[in-house]
Amino acid sequence: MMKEGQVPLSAFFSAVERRLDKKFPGEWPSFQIELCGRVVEMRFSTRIQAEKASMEFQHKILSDFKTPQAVFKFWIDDCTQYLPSEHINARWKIEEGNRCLWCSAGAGFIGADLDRYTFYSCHHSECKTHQVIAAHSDPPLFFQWGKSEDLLMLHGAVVGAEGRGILIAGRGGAGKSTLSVSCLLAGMDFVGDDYIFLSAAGEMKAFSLFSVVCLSQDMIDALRPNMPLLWQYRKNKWAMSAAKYELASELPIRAIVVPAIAQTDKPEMRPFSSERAITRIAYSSVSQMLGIRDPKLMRAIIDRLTGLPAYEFLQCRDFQKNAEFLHAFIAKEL
Amino acid sequence: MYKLNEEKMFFDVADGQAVVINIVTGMYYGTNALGSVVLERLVKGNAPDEIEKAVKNLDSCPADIHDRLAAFVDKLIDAEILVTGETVPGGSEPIDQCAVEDFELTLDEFAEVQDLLLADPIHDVDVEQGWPIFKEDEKEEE
Repeated sequence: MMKEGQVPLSAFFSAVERRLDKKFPGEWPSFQIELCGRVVEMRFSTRIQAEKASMEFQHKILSDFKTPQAVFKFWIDDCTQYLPSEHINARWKIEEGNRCLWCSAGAGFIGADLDRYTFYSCHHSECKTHQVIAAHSDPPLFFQWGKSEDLLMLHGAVVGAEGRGILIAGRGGAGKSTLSVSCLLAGMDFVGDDYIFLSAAGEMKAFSLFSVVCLSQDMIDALRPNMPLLWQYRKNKWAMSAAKYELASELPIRAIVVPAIAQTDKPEMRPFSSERAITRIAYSSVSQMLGIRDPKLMRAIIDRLTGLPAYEFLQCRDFQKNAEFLHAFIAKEL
Repeated sequence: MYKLNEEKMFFDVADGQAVVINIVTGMYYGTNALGSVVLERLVKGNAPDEIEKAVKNLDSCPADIHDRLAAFVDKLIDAEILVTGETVPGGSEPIDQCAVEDFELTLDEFAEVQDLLLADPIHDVDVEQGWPIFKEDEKEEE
């Protein structure tokens, strides 16, 4: 809540715009994508950022420019020019009406100004683990946009068959990406791995966001050689392009599937606690938001997913068999 | 004994980490490695005395582990995570020594208020002298 004499957040964003005009004059490298049926424009201060992001959204890039519903601005700068240095290294957020600002402990800040439908992502130039080489561009920024569009951004994968989808929950090492990529390679419907949008009201539909999938070297070796790898972003982590395959832009969600790895010859599906599955997705999703704790987001995810059936999928050693089994399960049971 | 307060809480344990979400408030809790083992057994209805036997079998278990466990259970009750329930046999099964980092039993509460700053870098500024004029703008004006 603002007190008398305080500067509104709108002044911050106006000052940001002034600085951007001065520091990065001229036209920025940009492209437009279709996001959940809306046209949004992505602008970048450097060509390398734009090129990397274009690979992340390869399946969504529009060939004709239209009037965008929202504009996303990504740039690299010294964040101490914008905020006191002691606050740059902390995690915090400020919300004020239609605007918010988040700071991510030395990595930079993101902001949303819904009056102007402009979303900001400033990567701190001093940050060693630079987001430019990470697998996905600023998930929290897309979370903010989704919020304004009645969409929830979740950390999970969505695959499907015959027009019906499942939400795959998973925390590191559970086999989420292995399963979703197995389904992708087997020709099943694939909405996304890691991050997807979910309609917050009405029919429960998942929408695609990124077309890159994060894989470890072990997974790449095991799944298929010569996969369309884009770049290595950690010692043992690669970004793979799913855009080379048939992707589904949206699917209705019928169940949550919690994957597990079993060293067996046959896959197995068994009922699982919905509460546990929802907890896994909700915690995992909230944990992706720059470390900002968000009970409101937690509640929104729980309220939305409550009522969905949940299953545990024990994946066997044969990835093709797992995908075929899951395909048959979705077609017959959901 | 105890059980999860199912009217208010969702619980999950994955990759050795327990998470509890208060579905009414959206507040959530995390426990450390040993806390997660203990909480999972308590939620199953295992008696604390039985769980204590398993903890005491771990190498280097401290002498005050009984008090630490009792304090942890009290915290879980205070947070309304556990309520009284029926006793389910078990709880003394061996704990994987490698999964236990230390003998602390922590319950971390994650609430939005923790993200609020004592000093607000955006709002609390001197409009005349400081923000929203950026440093480099100031230099140029000089």
